[in-house]
Amino acid sequence: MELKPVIGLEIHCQLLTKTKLFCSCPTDYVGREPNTIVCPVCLGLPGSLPVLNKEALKLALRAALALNCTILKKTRFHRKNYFYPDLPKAYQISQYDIPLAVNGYLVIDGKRIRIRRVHMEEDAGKLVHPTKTGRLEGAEYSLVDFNRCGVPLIEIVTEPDISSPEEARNFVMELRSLVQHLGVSDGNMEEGSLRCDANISISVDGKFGTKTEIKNMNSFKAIERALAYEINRHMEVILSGGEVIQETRHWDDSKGITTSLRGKEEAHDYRYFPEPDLLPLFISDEMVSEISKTMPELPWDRRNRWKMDFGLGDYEVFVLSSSKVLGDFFDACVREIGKPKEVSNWIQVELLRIVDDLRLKIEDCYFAIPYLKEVLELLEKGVINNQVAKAVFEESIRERRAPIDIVKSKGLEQVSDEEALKDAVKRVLEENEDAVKSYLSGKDKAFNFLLGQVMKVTKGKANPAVVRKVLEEELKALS
Amino acid sequence: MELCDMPAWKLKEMISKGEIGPEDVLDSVFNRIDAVEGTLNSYITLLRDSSYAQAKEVKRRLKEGESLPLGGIPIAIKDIICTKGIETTCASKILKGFRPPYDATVVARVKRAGGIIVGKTNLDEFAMGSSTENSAFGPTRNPWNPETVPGGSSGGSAAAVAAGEAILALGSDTGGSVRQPAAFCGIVGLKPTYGLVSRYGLIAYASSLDQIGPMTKDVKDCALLLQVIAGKDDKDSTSIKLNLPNYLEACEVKDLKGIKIGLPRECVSESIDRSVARVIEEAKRVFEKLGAKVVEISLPHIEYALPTYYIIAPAEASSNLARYDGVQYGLRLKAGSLREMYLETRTNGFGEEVKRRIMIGTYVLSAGYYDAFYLKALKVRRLVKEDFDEAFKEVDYILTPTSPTPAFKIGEKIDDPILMYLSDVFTVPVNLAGICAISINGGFSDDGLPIGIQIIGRAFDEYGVLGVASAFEAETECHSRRPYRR
Amino acid sequence: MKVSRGDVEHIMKLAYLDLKGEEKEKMIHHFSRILEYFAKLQELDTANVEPLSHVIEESTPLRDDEVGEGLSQEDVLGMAPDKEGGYIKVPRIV
Ligand SMILES: [Mg+2]
Ligand SMILES: [Zn+2]
Repeated sequence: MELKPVIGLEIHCQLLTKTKLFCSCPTDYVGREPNTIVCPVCLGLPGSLPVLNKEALKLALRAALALNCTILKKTRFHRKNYFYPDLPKAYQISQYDIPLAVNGYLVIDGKRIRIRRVHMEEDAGKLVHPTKTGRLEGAEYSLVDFNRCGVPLIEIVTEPDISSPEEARNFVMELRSLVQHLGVSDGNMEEGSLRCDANISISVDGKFGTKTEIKNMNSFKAIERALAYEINRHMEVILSGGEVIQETRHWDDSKGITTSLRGKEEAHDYRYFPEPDLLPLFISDEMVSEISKTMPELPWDRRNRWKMDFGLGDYEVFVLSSSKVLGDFFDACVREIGKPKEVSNWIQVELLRIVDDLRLKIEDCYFAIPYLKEVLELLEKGVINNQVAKAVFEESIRERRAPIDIVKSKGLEQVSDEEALKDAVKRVLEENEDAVKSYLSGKDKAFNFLLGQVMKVTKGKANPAVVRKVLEEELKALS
Repeated sequence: MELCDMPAWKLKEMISKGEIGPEDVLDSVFNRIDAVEGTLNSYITLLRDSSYAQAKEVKRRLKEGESLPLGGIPIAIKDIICTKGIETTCASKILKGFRPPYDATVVARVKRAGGIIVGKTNLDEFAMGSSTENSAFGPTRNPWNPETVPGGSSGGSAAAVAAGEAILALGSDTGGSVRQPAAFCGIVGLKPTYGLVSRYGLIAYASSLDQIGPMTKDVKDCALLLQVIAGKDDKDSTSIKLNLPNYLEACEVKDLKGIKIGLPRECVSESIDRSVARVIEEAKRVFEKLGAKVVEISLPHIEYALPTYYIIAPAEASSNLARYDGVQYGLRLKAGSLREMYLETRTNGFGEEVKRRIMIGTYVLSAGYYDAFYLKALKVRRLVKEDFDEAFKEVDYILTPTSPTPAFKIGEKIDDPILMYLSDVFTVPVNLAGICAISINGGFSDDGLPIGIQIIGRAFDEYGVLGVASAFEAETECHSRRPYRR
Repeated sequence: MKVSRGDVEHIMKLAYLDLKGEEKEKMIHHFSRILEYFAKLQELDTANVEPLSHVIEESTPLRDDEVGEGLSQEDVLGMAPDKEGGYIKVPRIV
């Protein structure tokens, strides 16, 4: 019996427009006082009517084109009817039978993951549950904030072409990078501007199985964990001779499990029908060609450029393109400094760690570009050694101080003078007779220990190459 | 003749000559209201104080030389059209106390034109009905005979205009709700082409069919009010941009030479009242006398229009009315859980007919029934529209009765929804096709009740329709009769 | 076409209406009559007819992406039947 996971994803991305999908309220709801960016339209007040945002349409088309989709020339909106307190009209304006675009694909590690459809829809409001955990369960009452209501989304639905949790994660990462590069969405999973649901089933000897839908995966890690858990659960059911039940399940990140949300028979009957308050939407060839012409550099093109022009490797370009801001920062550094390979290395090994430690954002680190440039120059000239360079770079960012100042005021210049280092080496050899003995008895490992001791007594400022040379000479003299 | 029984265009002339002021018209209107409102119940909300304040403001604007098409004319607004800060109920318990924070586009335009809003008129709850009996605020009565209904759903607006409780009124027409009450009350009612008048602020019943229309004492007033409310509104995606004609000019038409009017054989069947058949026969002769050629035509799918309408309209209504759930505004009945709150509020907040249409609408859209009912109805809707397209290749206008009977007795049809629905058999097809039609008084029944005739025109040919109606009016006397005129 | 009691109850659930007793019986009765009336449409062969959802055959107008004036929190909460700290309050959801 051959068991294979079959995964399809449904991703909602919030579009980077100034105003909502059908009204002129602003979209920047994060951190706002509740119910302050609303109007009769997004509140669904009786008598109010929707008017489509042109920019939202353009962004949606841009995403669809970048995903290699066919744009449907005659599309329309539908109403999706259901009751929930965060949905003021009791229906969501969405697209149903004729979406904006169909039949696209995105390449992940050389494999085409097909995109079934891309469509536009409006977001709902937000509920707050005043419990200790903020969870719905056990809340005596709930509070509604309509600020997010009506914010434009695109929904991207894949075919069930994904075959592992890792591939699913990579797909979402690539898609996030894409929408960021397109300026279509900021792709922030924590703030919910990119949300992912998954459909999972297990095919048995090539025959499709029953699928479950997983909701509430709020990070890349959660996607990987939830899918792994769910695949395992399906496999266990199948291998023990049971049957998977078609249902919607909720991923509980803290417990690391999925739980049943609703079964097939409780599935909603959304009673979709064409939205009468909007006319059909005709997409002209001019509009499509205008958007194609103004398409920004896509992540895969960028990666190719870095490989071809800078000679970077697969892994490097993967990391650098994982978010648009990082790629932009890297490009800015190379423009300023040159030395793409070293810059790439310093960004990936040092800067990302520093940024993490200091809780900075990459996009706020442009001030550090001259610092990096200076550090690399100091290194190149042999003024400081590699170890000092790393410490100085970090300090320069923390203190917002030029690296050269730090080096001078702390006297961190590299010591390359053989005579000056000879004293230090001799002292180390005297104080570590055991290590010297074991080196002389043939244990080479002891050499590195002694070298480290010399670096230590010189407070890391010694030029390691010179130390090595002197140390070798002195040990030879002892043998 | 008292001022309140005069048409707006005449009052305007008198105001501009300085013979009377806007307050005089208001005095006359409110005197009439005081005399008859206890019987008729045309209004849900009266705005006596604010009317006089508005009149003062209009006088100031007139003095400053502003040209105000409705300067100082009292107008009544159907209580399904949003008025900022003024309770807008849709005659439903569920919206009791709801004060919209904005004006409907038509209300803003009426105000800008110097119209004085005297009150919000009664209607069938959420415009669902043909008799104004389905109101949480009690039925409205027909000023010609208080034992009979004024028609519906804009029965309050129709009764108010007929009785001189307002000079002009706005109604809304989804399947005949402007024209049928206009016919029952002996006034003029126009259902504009879908897309001519903004629906922004009209609380939706069936969005693909709803249009706001003027309800007036004569055709010239109808043109006057249409001019104010018609035209593209950026807030309504279904409103259409076009160069508006001067509708008042249409009322100068004196003869109908070269015009071809179709009389559908399906509309003069044995199912219509004898007096209605007589009025249509007389109207035909009037049109011929005016120089028009009246020919028999066929609208083969018209008999399917009513069931089609009663699928599409409730389907849209079930969605439009789902928002009344007690969360944000209006009625909320106390309950332990959200689900119970929804159920309590909706079950008690809506009246019987509204619940019936929500149920039907939900059913025809639900899984397993969509194709057989809703989709089927959309297809038949196209057939009905194509009937008109075909007919308008042959003729310029179509003449039908507005309703198969004159006003019926209060209570007569209330327990038989299908019988009630039949009242709209000639008006509904016009909404399905999205074209325009006017109802004008064509004569009276033996019992002295007015009988309306409907003139249907091509999409956006309100100008032509007003012209035909105006010529008919100039040739006949019946429109000048008023129930309370002394 | 007769509608079943179960159908009507299912629709009541979807529509969030809770009819009881006489009102429910009346609804079932009228529901059936209205569905019978709809049956007339089955006389027509519509296999080759395009459904008509919009009578206006133009593309929906597009709005520029410019911020306009909205309502204040006061406006919103002023209409609300129950509120707390800037939010609209609703009873327990589950
Ligand atoms: Mg969606
Ligand atoms: Zn808004």
